Amino acid sequence: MTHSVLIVDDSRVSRMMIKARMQAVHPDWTYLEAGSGDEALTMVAAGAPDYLTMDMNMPGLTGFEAAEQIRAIAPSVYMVMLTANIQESSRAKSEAMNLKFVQKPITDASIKQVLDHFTAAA
Amino acid sequence: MKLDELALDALTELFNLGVGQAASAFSQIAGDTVQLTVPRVRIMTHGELSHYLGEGGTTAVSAVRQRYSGAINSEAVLMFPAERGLQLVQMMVGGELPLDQLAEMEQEALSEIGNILLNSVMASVADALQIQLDGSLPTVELSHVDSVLNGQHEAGGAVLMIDIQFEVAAREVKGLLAFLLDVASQDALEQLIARFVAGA
Amino acid sequence: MTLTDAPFTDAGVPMTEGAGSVPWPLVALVHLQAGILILDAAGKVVFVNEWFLKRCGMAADALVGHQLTEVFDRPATASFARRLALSQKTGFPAMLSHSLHAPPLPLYMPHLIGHAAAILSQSVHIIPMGKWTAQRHDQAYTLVQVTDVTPTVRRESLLRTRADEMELMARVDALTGIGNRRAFSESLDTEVRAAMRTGTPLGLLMMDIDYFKPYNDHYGHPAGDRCLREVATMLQRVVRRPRDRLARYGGEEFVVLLPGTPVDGVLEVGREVIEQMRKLRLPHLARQGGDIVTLSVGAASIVPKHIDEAGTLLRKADDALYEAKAAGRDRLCYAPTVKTDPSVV
Repeated sequence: MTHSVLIVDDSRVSRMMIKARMQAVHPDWTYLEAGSGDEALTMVAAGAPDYLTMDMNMPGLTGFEAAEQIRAIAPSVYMVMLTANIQESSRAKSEAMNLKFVQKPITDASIKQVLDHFTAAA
Repeated sequence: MKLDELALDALTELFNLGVGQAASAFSQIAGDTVQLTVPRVRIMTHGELSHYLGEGGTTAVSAVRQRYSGAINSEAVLMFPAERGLQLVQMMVGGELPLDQLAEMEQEALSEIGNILLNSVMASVADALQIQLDGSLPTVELSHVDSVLNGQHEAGGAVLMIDIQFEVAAREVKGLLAFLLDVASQDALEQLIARFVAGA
Repeated sequence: MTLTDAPFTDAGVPMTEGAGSVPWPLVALVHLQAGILILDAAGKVVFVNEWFLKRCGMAADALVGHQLTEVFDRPATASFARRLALSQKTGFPAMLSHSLHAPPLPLYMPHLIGHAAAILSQSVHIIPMGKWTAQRHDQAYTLVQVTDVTPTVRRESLLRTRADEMELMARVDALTGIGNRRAFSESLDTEVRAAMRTGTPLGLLMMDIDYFKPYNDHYGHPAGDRCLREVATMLQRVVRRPRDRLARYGGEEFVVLLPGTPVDGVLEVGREVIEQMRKLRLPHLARQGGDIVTLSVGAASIVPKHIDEAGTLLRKADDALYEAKAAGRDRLCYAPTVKTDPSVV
């Protein structure tokens, strides 16, 4: 069954890498990209994806802020924080918000973790 | 050095990754969340650097320096305006000691701070680019910006400059991270990043 | 251990080159005044030197072959373990400075092993021995170097105490124990800035002992000194609010800064000072117009808008003091009409 993923990260290279590795495992899925929290919100409002990866440190809306707002408008979207920010305080906040957390760098292994979280949610 | 937008994006991401690791290590030392922000990576030629430093070249700084060698040879420097270095140590140590009492601890503490940050960034870059690098132990220099950065460099070499901000318990200290590359290393880095981006 | 070129059998696994002997200069490791450990890729101790053994109170065979981060009763700190792991992973050298960490390893003064108070302040360097060892042996080894910086820390602490004392001395008037002129200048700067920020009045009293030179000439300098101390003590009784700043401004001149005090408050304190000085009834027979020691006092209060107005405040008080002297001494003067520009008289 095909799914749609929205990749949110201010780094174009990161988005490319996430998409490439996910596509290698799920070539039939649809992949969308947003370069900021605001852009992600706009896109989700237009049509909610099944899954979403979120970077934490972005200019403008932070990953957490965007995640909160997206949850409010589209609670069915399954989100995973995929980020370099590995501090205890960030992990704790993710847990408190019931968000899954995967640490960068973007490798086959870390992407696998993300995909496992998505499919476990189903 | 010519890096197109995508390559610069990739380099910025790698630096951010490294800086994120360092922030975590600093938080453990300070016992409090340390945020490190890296707005962007700038590339300059040595000529542009001298010009950039022109106004600030005589600023007194505390600098920590390490050399890296291997597929890329680089001299990496973390610099703070002189009194800011002390403030940063104070923030790490928990801020009750007055600045002048910290002066003796400053050098060694700064040495470690520089070591953690520079190593985190270079490890992130080396990992991603799949190269091996050797690193040196840190040395601390208390002098002026232009003597720290212009000490030894090759005409035609490039400098990667990053403004970096440390934030602990609502206090901020701004510093500068500079990576000086010779011509050969510059070319090597361009190729490695191109390979990395293509692989993405 | 004798100075032969036999391998180090009593300090760990022998580091041999070729058939069974070690280059004799390595014997220097026995005498080195710093701790040296060599760890294998798994973090197990392969070599440890005398200096280290003496300060952890263990024999070589208790350490060699064991995980450094787990072998001690008082274990190596978590920071050390993390930094070691990271260094082994990245291949980059790392350090733990004594100022940012608790002592990483359980090392003590040799005769006080295990006593918490005798634990050494340490500067630790973790140095991956690089590709060279990985090529010649089967794996990458790591050097751990420990320096005892306790003497440095102690010296720093002593210097700090001395510096504090000197700092204090530089701001205190040795004779009277109240603040000196330097301390006052700093306070003035601080209080003017505070008054600027808060838009509140800053008051100043400038006080001068009347006919002090004749007092010294007549009664002698030691008596003059006693007189100054008595005046200072009296002023300390009168000037009691926590933010008020009392100082000896010159030979026989005193000042007190009164933050948040408008004119009437300043005058009230000034009157009290005059009163209390009279009540002391210190004999002074070498003066005119009286037979006790008295003070002339000049008062001023401003709400400063600019840091330069510190000078204005001083001048106003000084001019008022001059008026008090000119009008016959032993009195308080306040001169609101005193011009602030010194070039216009």
